Amino acid sequence: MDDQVFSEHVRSRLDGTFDNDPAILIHLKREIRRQLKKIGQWNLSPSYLAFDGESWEASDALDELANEAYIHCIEKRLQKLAEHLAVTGTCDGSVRKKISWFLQDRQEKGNPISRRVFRNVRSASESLVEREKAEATPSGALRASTIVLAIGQSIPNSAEELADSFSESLGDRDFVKLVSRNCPASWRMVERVIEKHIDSGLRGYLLSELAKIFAEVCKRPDRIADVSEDTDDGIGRIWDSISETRTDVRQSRYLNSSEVDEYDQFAALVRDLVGRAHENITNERIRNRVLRMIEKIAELIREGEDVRELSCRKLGVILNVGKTTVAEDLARLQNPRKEQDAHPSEMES
Amino acid sequence: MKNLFDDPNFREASKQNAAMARERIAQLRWPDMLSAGDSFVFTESYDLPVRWVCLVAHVDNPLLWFLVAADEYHQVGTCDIELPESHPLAPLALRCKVGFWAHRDDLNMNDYLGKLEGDSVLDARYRLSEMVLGKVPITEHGLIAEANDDYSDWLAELMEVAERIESRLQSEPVVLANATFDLSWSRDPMVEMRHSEAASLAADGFGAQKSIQLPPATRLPSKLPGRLLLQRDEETYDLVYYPSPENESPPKLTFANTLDVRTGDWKRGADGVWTWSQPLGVINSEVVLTLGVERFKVQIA
Repeated sequence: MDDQVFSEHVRSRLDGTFDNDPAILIHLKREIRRQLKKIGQWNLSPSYLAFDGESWEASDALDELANEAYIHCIEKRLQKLAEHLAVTGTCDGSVRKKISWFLQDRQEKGNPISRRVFRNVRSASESLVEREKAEATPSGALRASTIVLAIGQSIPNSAEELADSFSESLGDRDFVKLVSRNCPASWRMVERVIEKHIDSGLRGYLLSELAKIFAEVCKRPDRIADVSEDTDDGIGRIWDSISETRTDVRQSRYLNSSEVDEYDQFAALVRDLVGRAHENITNERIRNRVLRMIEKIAELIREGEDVRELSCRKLGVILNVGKTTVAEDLARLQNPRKEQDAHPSEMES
Repeated sequence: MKNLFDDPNFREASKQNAAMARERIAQLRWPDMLSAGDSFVFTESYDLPVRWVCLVAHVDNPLLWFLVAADEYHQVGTCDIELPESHPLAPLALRCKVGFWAHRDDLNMNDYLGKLEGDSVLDARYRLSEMVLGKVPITEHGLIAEANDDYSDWLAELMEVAERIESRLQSEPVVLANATFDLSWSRDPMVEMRHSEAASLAADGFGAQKSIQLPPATRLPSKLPGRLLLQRDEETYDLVYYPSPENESPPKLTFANTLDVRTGDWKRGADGVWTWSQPLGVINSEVVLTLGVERFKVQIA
């Protein structure tokens, strides 16, 4: 039965009767094709999911994707699937859901810039609608096909008019830098820019068209280097977290200036962080973990590690904790006064 | 097509992987006492890659546990705890925002998935207290995840599932006081339809010619579209499902007070009627069973 094909496969893997028959990959390809159609990717180039080839049908892309999906959705999860199967008698739903997440993840990684730009334009538009600066047609959740109109308007601007209207912003390097970033400041900036244009007579826009215009400028050669840096796991760098009061001058001094000065500054920073761990963290187990982390960072730096390249993921692997746990522990080291100071400005913006 | 099973290294590694998974399954043991990390799966989430992990016992009742969802969705929000990459169950994140209370007596061995080991369970317990005190460390990745619609949709789906599980666990099973076992069930139109189909099959030479001796049974008040019966067979009882004309299959039996239901299954007869492969027994004059999301307690006179 097709609806239990993955359960049967996992069962055969567990009882040792699986004979490496590639038929399971054909089933997997069928499921992937179904899901690609569902998310509107089947008729687009495989490059949207970071695969080579002109189309899914006329290339090896689907075979490659099926092999990868097998590893991520079945092989690496075999223990979990086996447990699930033993208790529930099925694991097909689990595999199918995991395939959808896997494709979503590939979509994010394959075309991260456009995805982020789209999200920023959508968040900005949602905020404009909430603040009654604009209306959405149809109402409800904003989608690529949603038309956002200035209050009282009934026809949106064409794509050419939008490109003309926003040409000034698209030439602004700061705008171009921020528009594809994944942070609240980005969509707020987009919101401000759109609102300014609405005040100057913009009638409205099709959400996907505006996102496409903004995403196009991110493909400029001078922009590629900027954006490729922040695709690394989406998790911030250690340096940004531990040196919250740094300036560029101070940072360069840590890295390039005389050894004596560097050592003094660094030792002071470590002392400061240890002090904050004792001050901010009351739970002994977590405090000890954070102290271990500070010690490890210091050790890595002493061994010549380039602190700018040290990511939460790398540190998480070294310390055997989750990368997000590392980021949270670093957040625990933030100066509470700075956090308090940050709140009012956050509220205002 | 390119086939990863052609790679001898992959074949060898996957064989070892399967052996390890088999070993873990064989080691699954229902604990005498629940403790933090014990994990369950419930019928409401059979089709989802999610397990429910015991985190804290209630301060006033050590038998009452708070369980949270743990799943493999790749985004990690501010209230979630992610397992280290080296953990055998990674990737997995405990969603501390999505949980429910369940009493030890309402959890059963057939739903037990083993114990989640490691500091992440302690971190999740601590996260609950941070959530109560409003001291959750806010990180950039957490905010990014929470601004993501797909992540929000997934958490909303989990919350709905958690509500359904909690609501079922906290509801009393349907009690059939002194169930009467007779033949009145056989006059139900849906049952008669199946019997007439079986009779015409027999007439065509596809079944036994002799007339069928019907056993006494009691109908269970299920919301399923077909008819659910408990049929008496001398000292034991058979669970039987007569499907509606849609020919749907019955949901899995997830609990019966005398059985390890994991080793049983529904069997479909030539007439389209489903029978659970294991006979049910009686304990303390009761047959208690959970079928899909419905629970029954049948008192045997």
